[in-house]
Amino acid sequence: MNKEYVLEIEDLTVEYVVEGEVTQAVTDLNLKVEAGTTVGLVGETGAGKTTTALAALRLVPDPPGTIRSGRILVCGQDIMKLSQKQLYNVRGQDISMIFQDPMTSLNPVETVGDQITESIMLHEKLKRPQAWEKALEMLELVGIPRTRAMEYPHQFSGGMRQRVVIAIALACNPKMLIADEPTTALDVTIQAQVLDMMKKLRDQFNMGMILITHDLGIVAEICDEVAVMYAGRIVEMGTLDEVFNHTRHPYTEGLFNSLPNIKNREAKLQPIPGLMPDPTDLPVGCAFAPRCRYATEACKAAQPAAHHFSDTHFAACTAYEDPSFRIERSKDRE
Amino acid sequence: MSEVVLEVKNLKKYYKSPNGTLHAVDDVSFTIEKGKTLGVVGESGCGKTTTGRTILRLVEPTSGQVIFNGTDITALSKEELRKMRCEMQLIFQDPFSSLDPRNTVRQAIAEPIIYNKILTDKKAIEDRVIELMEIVGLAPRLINSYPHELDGGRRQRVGIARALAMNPKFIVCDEPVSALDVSIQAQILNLLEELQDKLGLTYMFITHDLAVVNHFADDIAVMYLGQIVEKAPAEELFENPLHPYTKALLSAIPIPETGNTIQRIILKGEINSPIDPEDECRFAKRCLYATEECHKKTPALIEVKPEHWVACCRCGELQ
Amino acid sequence: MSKNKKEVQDINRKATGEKAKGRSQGAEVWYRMRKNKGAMVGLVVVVLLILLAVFSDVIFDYSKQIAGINTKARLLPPSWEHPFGTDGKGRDLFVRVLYGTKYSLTIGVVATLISTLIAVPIGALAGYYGGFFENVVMRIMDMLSAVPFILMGIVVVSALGANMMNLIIALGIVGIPKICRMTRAAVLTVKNQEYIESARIIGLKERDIIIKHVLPNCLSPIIVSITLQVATVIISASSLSFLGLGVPAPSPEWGALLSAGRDELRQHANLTLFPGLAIMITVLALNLMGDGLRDAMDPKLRK
Repeated sequence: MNKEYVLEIEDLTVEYVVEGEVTQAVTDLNLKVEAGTTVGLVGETGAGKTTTALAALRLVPDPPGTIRSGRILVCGQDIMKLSQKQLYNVRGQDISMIFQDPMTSLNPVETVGDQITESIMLHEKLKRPQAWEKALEMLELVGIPRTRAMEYPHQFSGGMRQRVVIAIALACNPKMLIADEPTTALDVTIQAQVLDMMKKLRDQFNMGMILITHDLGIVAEICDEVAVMYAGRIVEMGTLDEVFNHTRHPYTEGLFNSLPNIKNREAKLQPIPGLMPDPTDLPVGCAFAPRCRYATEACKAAQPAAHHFSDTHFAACTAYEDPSFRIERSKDRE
Repeated sequence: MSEVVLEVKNLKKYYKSPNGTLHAVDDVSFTIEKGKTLGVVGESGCGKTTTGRTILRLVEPTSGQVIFNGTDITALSKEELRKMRCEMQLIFQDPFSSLDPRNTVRQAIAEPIIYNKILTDKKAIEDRVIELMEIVGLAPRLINSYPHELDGGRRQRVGIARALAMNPKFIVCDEPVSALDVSIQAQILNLLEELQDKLGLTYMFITHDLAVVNHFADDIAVMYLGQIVEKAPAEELFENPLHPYTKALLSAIPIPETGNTIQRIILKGEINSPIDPEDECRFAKRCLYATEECHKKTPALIEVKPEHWVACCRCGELQ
Repeated sequence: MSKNKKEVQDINRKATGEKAKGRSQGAEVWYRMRKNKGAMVGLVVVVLLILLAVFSDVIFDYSKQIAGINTKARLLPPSWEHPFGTDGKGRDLFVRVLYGTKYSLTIGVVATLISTLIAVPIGALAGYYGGFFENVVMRIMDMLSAVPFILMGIVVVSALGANMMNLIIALGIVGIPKICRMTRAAVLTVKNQEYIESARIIGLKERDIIIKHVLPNCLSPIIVSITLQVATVIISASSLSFLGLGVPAPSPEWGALLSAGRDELRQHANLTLFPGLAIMITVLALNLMGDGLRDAMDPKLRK
């Protein structure tokens, strides 16, 4: 097999030091993204999703954050070893990111056409007229008529703004795109449009994509692989089918059970009891153990090892030391 | 027919803006029966939040009536309204801004009890606060905590306890879970459901999340640009949506399952401005089925099947 | 980038939240204030000055040390006996400057108190109710702040006579617009918070909402601007005294000391230098303390 990885993250650990206290935001994280595929990064607030994404661009705010260890390869280049100048070239050209709130990522006093043009001229040796022309093409690509290039961000609706942000991010044809909750601020019907467009663009440019979200519905929609994060670690990872239909980790199961089932409205919600642990004071053992219905003493004693169920699918859960163990969700389905 | 708790008749709320009159809520009517939940769904700017606020008269209505247990709230004086408010409460969307940062959990929950003289004995108040905390699932040790020390789910529980302290009969829940993480969201939804059973509460549940409203509501009203375009029992609405907008909305819900084959209805076209809207179907410009007829006048909400109301000129043909 | 800031803040909050458990907001502020060295230095100096002002009549003998004339010891240079030297009437300048703290601080504190008592209620009402009332109030404030404080001082003092009380009144009036605007701005941000609506829905009257929820949450910016206002008033008072519009002789108000030393500036610079330094140190200490308070009280400015 000869796969082209556009992003490889190995053993990434990111810490925040606040008032002398160390918070492990991300611990020993491994993630690979293949060109033309989308990896969904799922988890709740504070799970470390955004920090992971920022680390991939070496944008973790320092201080208070530091990348303690790990190797991050973007299109084969180790970005931890790049100079600031090289880093600027990599960002935008090889790897790009879009944020949740489109209004804060756009400059309110510049026309959208100019904003796209500038990001093109930053990375490509084009004269302004050519760059402008390309900017108009980008706008059309994301479904905005070229005639609106002279307008300012406030003249656009939320969905349109997010399209502009995407146009800027894609202006230099990056090979890797990280989308951090790109549709959370949008309405459902608009969300459907934007997701649809992102899927098309990914296939058109053969981009690798990380989609950060807390919405498993969106994951099912456009992701090929899913990584579920909890308290800074990936607890389960696999292909979409494996994670959704052969769920292994109790936390992933808990997430599914917390969602209202649109097809069966009588079904009772089964929330995960309790709260996410304090990131400054993580337990020695499995961070999920205090909330886990299957937890045993062994879970609290040591970090769970990853148990592989296939080449692509693993779950970090101690219960699988016993090969006959199955969680409720997969019992129903097998 | 069971007892009607709330009846809203032709409720309107217009705002003056420099560009014209903004029709935030435009001729909305509905009823809610005792112990039931009416879900109000719609996208941002459709007027669902304003409707909720206007019913509680936190915002003064431009015209229309809100009849709560036989009393027209819009005709009450300020003093009468304050008494009435004991029975109607609001649960806020954002648990981070709906609690006074300078008040402890005890103060937040005790405030309505003390202020409205529901209880006067200090010991009784303290007992009631602890009782309420238990009802909403807050550990009593948190009684002296400040909001900034609590996470979103717990703050939302404080907000609910505060609303319950007034012994309300009717609660407007304005997106009570949309600021919370999924696992916490389910905890709060279950809590609200339990409370409804235990205390016989009536809810108006405002949300943009269709999966949540389907799970939670008995009846659902779909709002678009200040008007109700479709209203039906939840099951009926999800199985047999009639309005083109409802159809598009339902098809757009991302479903957390693999191998979905649902055909997305992708809406095109510009959203009408809510400022001085013309007398036409407000959805017509984005509607796949719009004809000239639709641009002529605003369609009325009519009962096409028992309990199923739709405002669409063409719904007869499209069925 | 807002998202990423939010996450960091979130982590911060969780990190400090655990430690802050059971600590009231006041204690939080004190904890953060203690970490700011400049603010603590300012605080210590201010406390010392206050003690000095309060006990000045116990420490010093007014008629002998402050007002008494000693023609033998005129215009001596600084020495161990007279650290700041002596003035034209042979009085020890060091003692006079220390004693002057009483005047400067009293003027600063009382004038600010007057401004605050008038400005905060007006500003709060204007901000909370808005509309026509707000417009009228704010335009009056604009007019007031268009009058230079020296002119205002001259007007009040020439109408009522030159003494300390009138100086305080003049400076109290001058301080109103600043604090009023400050309060209004703070109220404007607080009144749109959901917890105000939450108070309304549980039946609180508007008056009680302002007293119980709006004002307490505006307290931090108000306290900060009051602290800084005291510093401003001290400078203004010195300027007016320097012009002879303030505290009459022989009371050693710092501005008056400066004014008295003016004639000897060439030969005896110490007569103006030390009162000037006293003003500078006091104002600096108040400003350091005010800035520190602002940082400690405003969670948004926390690093």
